Amino acid sequence: MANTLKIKYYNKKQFIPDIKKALPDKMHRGLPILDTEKCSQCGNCKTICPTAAIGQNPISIDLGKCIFCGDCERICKTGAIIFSNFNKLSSASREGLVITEKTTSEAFLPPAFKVRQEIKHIFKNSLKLRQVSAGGCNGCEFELNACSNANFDMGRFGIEFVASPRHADGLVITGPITRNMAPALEDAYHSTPNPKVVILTGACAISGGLFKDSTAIDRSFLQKYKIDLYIPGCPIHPLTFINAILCFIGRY
Amino acid sequence: MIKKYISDEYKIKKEGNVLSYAVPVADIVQVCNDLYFKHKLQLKLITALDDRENTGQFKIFYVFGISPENIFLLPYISLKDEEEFPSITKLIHEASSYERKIYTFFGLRPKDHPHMTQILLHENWPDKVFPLRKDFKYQTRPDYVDGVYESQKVEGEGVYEIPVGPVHAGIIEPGHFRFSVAGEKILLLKPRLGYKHKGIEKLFEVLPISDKVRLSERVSGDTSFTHSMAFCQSIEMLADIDVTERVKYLRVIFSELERLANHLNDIGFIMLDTGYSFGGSNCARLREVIMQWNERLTNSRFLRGVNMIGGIQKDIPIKLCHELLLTLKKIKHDFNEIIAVSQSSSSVINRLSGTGNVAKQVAVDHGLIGISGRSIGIKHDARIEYPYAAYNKLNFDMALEEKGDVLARWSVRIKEVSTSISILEQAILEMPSDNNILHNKNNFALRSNSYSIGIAEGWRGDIVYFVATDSKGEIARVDVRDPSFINWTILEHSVNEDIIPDFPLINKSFNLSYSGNDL
Repeated sequence: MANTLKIKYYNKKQFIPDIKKALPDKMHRGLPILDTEKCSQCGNCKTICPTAAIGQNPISIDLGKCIFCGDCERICKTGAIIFSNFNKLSSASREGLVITEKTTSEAFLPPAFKVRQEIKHIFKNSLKLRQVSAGGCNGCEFELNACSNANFDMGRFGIEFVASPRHADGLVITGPITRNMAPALEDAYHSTPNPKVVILTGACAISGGLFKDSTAIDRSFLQKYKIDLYIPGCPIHPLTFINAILCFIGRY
Repeated sequence: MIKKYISDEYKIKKEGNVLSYAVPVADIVQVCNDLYFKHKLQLKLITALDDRENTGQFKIFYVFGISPENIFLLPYISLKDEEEFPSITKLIHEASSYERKIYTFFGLRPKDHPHMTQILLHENWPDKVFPLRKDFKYQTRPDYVDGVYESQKVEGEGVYEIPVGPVHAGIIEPGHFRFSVAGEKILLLKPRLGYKHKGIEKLFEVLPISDKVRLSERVSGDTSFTHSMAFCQSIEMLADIDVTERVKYLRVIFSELERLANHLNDIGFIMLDTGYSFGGSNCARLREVIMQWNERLTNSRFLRGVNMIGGIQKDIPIKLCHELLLTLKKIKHDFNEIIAVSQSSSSVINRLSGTGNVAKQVAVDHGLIGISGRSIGIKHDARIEYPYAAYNKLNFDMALEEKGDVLARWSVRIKEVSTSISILEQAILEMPSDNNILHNKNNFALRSNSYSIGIAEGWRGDIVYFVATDSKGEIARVDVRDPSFINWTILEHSVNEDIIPDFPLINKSFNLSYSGNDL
């Protein structure tokens, strides 16, 4: 009995009281800070980037494609790309994920973070999600599981993952959407009652990531249906996910 | 030493850790039979290569490992103008999935294979389109065709089918399971995989070399580090790069951190599936400690972007080493307390013991490896049998159990947590301090027309990478063999005495990778 109580005490100590203020370790690769003045236009970063996320003149990074490997930061001799640990990244539009020198952390938080009024109205106090793993590597799935552990405890905001699309208010899609999973994803979409939201998590879901040109991928689902929220990462960080949802439902 | 395995009539080519030799098609069954049954070598992989551009032939390689010398025998056959090869499945059962995969992706048919259907590609894929042939372009997306999935049926009074998946109740990967049941008892289970097939092996042939390392990190996300380590080791072998001593120790440290995090997660989830949320929640908390350490050490919670060919990107400063040792000590203490409380809960032990039994002979025939194998007394562990990185300098024992039920698989993981912590402590203390962590050759060339094998023990079991180069020294083929590819075949044999509500628990006790299997 004494042991059980002791362990419960440890459990409590690891809990993060304020998710909105919490930041990951300073080593974490979050929002890249770009500096055009330092950029020598050598193009090395563009060449080494595995997913063609970097644009030049002026330098920009598409976080929807970025797999946060840090190769560009390492190869840049002038320090024009430096990853910061700010990780509350998300956007309601695909264009919002393309960052330039002028992008600051405020761009990803309210009031700059804009979303339809009806979403706040309907889902503010409770959002039940169904996750569909459409071909990812299991990294994002692990992190979505971690959102509910004793540290992050997403359930305190009324945001939870449910067992069936029929019980859900929306879908969370991970993975590049494989040919074999595309029909099942579509079924899950139609099984979710209206009004519903669709959330893309991770570089694979947003842009196809490393797999975008592969023969076994079928991304036609994304052309057919409206996407409400994009959460970048490879894989996404639990803090990124929870804060993105909080911004989305107007509780940040 | 090698003489006893290979008959004098074959011409042997030795490169790196690989001895390759051509065998006439008619002799291959006998050669494999001798290596497997007479010399008791482990079959690690069977794979094919489309070499029609160079030699006008398809080649099929049979990879056998010699432990502890860490050498691989590669007898191979060449097929010119024919698309059939002799199957060895009737003799060596574990060859079955490899041969089916070769049929699916290369269109080469194993003759007399007892169960010849395609795997991984579904009925929506057109006939006679074989994605790993060189004349198939990786961006092509063939039109969908209407096919019907037929699974084995059980008929009789009161027998009905329960289809589950591919979208499951928890946040897990997709797979389809079809149960035939009478009441609650499972009569037959047929798993169907391939939902995560995203053409990884084809991408390995086309992406630039630095992206290939990034790709290997995403074969199975939970094993990012060990997968990329196995791949880097196979390339280093081809380029004759020796990594420094410090890199070897760093690789051990990161690999064990990964094992620790995943074992803690599994131990917790198995308890959670019995309804024991105390154990589940506390193990998830300990896993989180490791994940945050991973991030502190390498910028990535999943140890991605760390490995590179010839070295490692991130060194561990001495100050962090001391802190890590303290954390490990705390985790050990904390973990032992949690397990002591959990093991005294009769509801947990009762539910785990005797559930999901695997018969030893069935496991041996299927070539079960990794923790699932060790839980039934099959002594395979690549860290000991094929010592790579710095494992030969560290002291540790193989964690073994005998019973082969869920409890045994749970207990093996508990033992391995202690082993991992002990390996980590040794590695941190013994790591040489003065070495460089990157190799000094900026441009390296791979041997042309050559083969190499990279092997590393992931937390599920051994991961094997087969790499072949063409005449220009470019990578022509990479075959990834995740342990799950072997171990998935055992799942349907482990539920025969059980009831439907036990299935999630049994599946979790194996916790196989869907992504690593489907590629």
